[in-house]
Amino acid sequence: MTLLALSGVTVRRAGRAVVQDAALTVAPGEVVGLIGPNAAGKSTLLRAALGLIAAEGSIRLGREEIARLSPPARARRAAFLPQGREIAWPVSVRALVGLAARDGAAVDRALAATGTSALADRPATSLSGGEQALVLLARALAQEAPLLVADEPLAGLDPAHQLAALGIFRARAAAGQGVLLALHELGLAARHCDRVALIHRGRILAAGAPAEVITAARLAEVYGIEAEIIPHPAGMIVLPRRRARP
Amino acid sequence: MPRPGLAMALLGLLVAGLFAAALLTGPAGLGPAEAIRALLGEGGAGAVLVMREIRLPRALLGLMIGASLGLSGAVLQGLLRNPLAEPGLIGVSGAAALGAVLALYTGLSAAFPLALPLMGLAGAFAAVAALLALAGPGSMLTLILAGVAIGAVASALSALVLNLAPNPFAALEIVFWMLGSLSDRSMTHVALAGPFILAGWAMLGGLGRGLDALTLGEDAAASMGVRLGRLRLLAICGTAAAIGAATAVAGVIGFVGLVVPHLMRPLVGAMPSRLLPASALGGAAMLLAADLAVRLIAPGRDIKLGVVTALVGAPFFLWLVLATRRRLA
Repeated sequence: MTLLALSGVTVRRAGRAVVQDAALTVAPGEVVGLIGPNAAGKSTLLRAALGLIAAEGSIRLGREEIARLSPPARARRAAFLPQGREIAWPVSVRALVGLAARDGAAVDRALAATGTSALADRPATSLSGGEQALVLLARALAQEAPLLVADEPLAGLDPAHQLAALGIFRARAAAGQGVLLALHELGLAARHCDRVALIHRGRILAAGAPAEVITAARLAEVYGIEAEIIPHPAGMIVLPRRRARP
Repeated sequence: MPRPGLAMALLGLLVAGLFAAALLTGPAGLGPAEAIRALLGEGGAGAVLVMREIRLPRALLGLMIGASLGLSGAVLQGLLRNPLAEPGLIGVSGAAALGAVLALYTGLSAAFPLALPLMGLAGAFAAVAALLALAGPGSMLTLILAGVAIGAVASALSALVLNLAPNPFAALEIVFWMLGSLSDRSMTHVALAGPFILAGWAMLGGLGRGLDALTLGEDAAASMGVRLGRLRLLAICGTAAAIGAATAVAGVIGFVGLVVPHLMRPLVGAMPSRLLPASALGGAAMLLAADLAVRLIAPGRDIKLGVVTALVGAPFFLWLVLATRRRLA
């Protein structure tokens, strides 16, 4: 059974289709990466997948069409880590992580999984950007939903915090849950996702194993760059060399 | 570290003490025992009248209106995720004031005293209807902009009415009413405003958890299962009912809704679900205290309540600004 299944999903904004006829699935045990240039429709597709904006087509969370699920029922099936790291009030880390948690034990588990237990009593607004990112990730984990959707969870993080977050995503997949990430860093997507989907101008151009999707020819077409794809024992390295001549 | 339980208990005691003090304060010179007996309907007819028809409604209105201001201020700050939000922002108090000003200007209130609060309520209703129609289902931004626009129209029209006032006494009456006061209110005012205020509390009281989730933004809150449209509607209608009714019977009382949530955050923490009940108690305490100050400091001069809350509230706010600056430095 898939945790998330999109087919024929179209999102219109002011009459223009910003996502068109998209299909995407996330199964238990896998980390799926959504890649594509700025304004390609990554965030829009994620928000549509969670029912946060209106969309045409079929969106299923588990077995149910999302339109038939109430907001609390959606929250039990999927947790979301949005792109902006907005924390409006100086609430304690523990209170923040517990916002959608079933009980204190879930909060403790999420704090432990993200290595933020020591921050529990600090005001969340007083943390560094990297710490805030991990705490907000802990907040989504504490929801203990089978699917985690994260929009640019690695943006602005140093390599240590990036690896910490990626390790958490991998651990969740290993525990039989599903993870869907929008990512900009192609090398990270290639090395840390089981499958990737490449979205360009609202359409999913290719989806599958990273080595099949991330090719020099596609990067030239989609990003307008000349890039070298370097094989490496730990996965592939994507090295953008220069912007392609028009 | 905030101690919410202790803070709430102390706030509750403070409100109870101030409410009792409000019942025991006044020019009639009743002793505490005499006052309590009169409140229960024993003793001289004059004392009973003073307690039941003058002091009790004044204390009740102070309690209800103060709690409404504090509660709706905390709700709106949570809803808009903005520490400068306050109940006046959605334009309802301005529109209620306009209704009341029209009642004064047309002489309706002289012929029929209840016309004043009734027209205030009518103004508040009109403002809510206009607000919901203008803002549409969409964003918080259109909601604030519509509220500001309605408030601006209401204050412009109030100014026009003042401008056209037939004589200086009428103008003075309007200005004094607009400054806000709890003096000379009767149990009829309580009965008129009470149901709306209680309905407003019922709508606002349960919003804490949803506002907590909004701390992380609208998308995050929706993904946590919060029904945003319902939250927004309840917050606006609850504020409108409580503040519209409060303004209709007491005039415009500023600063309480803005300042009280800021005063409460250090005591109970910034989480809206904690802040809502604390701000209701804090607002009640502040308004009861301000109304006591009005009666004790200058009993003969009839200093208006709205003047006192602004005089006390603004320096508090400045102090908060300085405290915040020190913390950020």
